[in-house]
Amino acid sequence: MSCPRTPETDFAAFAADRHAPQFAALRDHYPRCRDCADEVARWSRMLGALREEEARVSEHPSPERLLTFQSAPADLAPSERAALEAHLASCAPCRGELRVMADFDFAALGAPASPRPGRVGWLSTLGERLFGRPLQPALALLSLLAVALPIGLLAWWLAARPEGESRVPPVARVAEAPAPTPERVAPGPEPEPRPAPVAVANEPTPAREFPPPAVPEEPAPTAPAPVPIAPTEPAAPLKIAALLPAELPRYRPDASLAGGSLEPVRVASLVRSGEKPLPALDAFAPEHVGATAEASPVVYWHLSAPSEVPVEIAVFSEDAEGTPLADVWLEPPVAAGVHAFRFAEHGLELEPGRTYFWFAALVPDRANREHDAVAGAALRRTPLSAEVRARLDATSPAERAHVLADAGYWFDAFTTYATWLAAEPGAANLRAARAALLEQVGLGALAGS
Amino acid sequence: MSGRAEDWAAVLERLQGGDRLALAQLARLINSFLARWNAYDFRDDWDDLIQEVVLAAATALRDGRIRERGAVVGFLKSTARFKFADRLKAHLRLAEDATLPWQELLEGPLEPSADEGSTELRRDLREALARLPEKERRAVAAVHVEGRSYEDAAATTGIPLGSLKRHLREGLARLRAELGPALGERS
Repeated sequence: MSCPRTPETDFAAFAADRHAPQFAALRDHYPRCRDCADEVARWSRMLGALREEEARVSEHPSPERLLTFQSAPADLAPSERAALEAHLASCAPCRGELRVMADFDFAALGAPASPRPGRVGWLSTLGERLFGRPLQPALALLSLLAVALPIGLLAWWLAARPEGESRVPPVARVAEAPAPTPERVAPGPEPEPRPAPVAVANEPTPAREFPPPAVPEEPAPTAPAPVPIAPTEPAAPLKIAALLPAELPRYRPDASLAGGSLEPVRVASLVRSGEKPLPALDAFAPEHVGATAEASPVVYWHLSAPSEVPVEIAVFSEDAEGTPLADVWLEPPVAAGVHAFRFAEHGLELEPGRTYFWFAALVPDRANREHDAVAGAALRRTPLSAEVRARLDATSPAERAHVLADAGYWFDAFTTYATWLAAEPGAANLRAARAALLEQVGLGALAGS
Repeated sequence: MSGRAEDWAAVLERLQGGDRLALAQLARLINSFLARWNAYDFRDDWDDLIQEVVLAAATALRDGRIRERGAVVGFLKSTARFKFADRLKAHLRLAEDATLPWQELLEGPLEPSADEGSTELRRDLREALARLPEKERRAVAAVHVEGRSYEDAAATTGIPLGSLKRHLREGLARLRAELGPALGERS
């Protein structure tokens, strides 16, 4: 080390507050000095590793969300808009990207600037992101259906059925959905890991026909109860709250569990502006592809207010070409609050290593699905590693959800807390643990739900 | 699906058609280069630099100066690096043909995950973090892991602001000393 300034410089103080006036001389010096430049680079690498430790890089809103925020903020749910505003308040690079988008001189390219992101572009991009390929077949099919403004994944999904509801008779509510078609069912509990599960994903994809709902002796309830978090769990209190660790769970996203990427895919209340207001719809899920070790997991979604329009729940495989593996309707009124969708109740088993997408949609007009509000997310089944199994074996049952969250299995950790909370609804620490998981995936606004 | 390589030539072509989303994607990419190069001391220049790089790449592709579509990302990175170095020299009032040591540090893998050393560094970092005295660990975690402001970190950890800054500086110095080899320091 030849530079006399290097050993005398308080790089720790510089790293902690590099824009402070007292470091003006250092900012001017280090780019010219090999020793000091090396040392700043090492500090930068260390601080970068600290940032990656929290996976903060992945928390930047996607370019699509930034663009929507800038040009069509009304298309964002209030909670999503608030989250973006909070992020922008503390993120100079994202603010810079907004400025670039506002100031860029398209005329210099001889190009016509799109005045705002069209819904087609937004959802097409979403479809590309979800399925990794353009959605041209969807557009072709939509043209056959003569839908006015079909778009992206949602349009593809919708295009897979005829207008109206003739092929998908509504069912009263998730918990009362009819039994799944036998050919899709892989009954019975599944040992873990399972080398060759009966996959729902690779089957041919004929038009899925649900049997009509059984005619009940009494009128079916039309208003699902809110917070049906664990209606099938044992009623006896588990008394787990008293044993819960004092510290809150900490979710550690793991790209290897999510198919190699933590790219955001979650959608919240995707709806056009200027239409009749609909309740906000949110999927309880990480922004990226979330991991589950369960063959038939439970996923949750949230409705901000009672809905006077039907809600459709659909599940897709990443290679299902637009045909849902499950398609369930909730007839209005649909209560506000947290709702559960249990894959097992619909005969769905996830194949390990494959990504699945699930969506909830508010459907104000079944004949014209462009007015839907959609929330959705993605999940991927990844069996527990031997290390995680060993950790689970070595910890008490009350620590199970903490271990799952730490190992990257957000869905399983959340479901565990939700199940415990259903048994002990007054347990503040269980509620706090569940809220922590929501906050850690950018859903802090729903933490009190 | 996730993990696939982006076709940056196609993104540039969409930009030429006036697609603002393409612009947003390019801005994000170039931002990531600048962040990797630790260009935070020259943050005020980022916006202009991004626009210059995007324009240069779009024009080069249109004019056939980028012959391989797969070379677009390399063109973007090289152009960003040269333009950043030019601005740096202007800030430092150096001649354009001067060579800065800092420039040599701008080379490196595009993806941090591609750096085999990063996994080892993260592992060592976790271990070093765990060995820090509690208040230093809480201060470092609050500010540099969780990204909180000093005031927010002080409120969250319950450590007074002045003490938090001291613990933060001492904790960072301790981490730096422990991670020397992992950060490429020659012993």
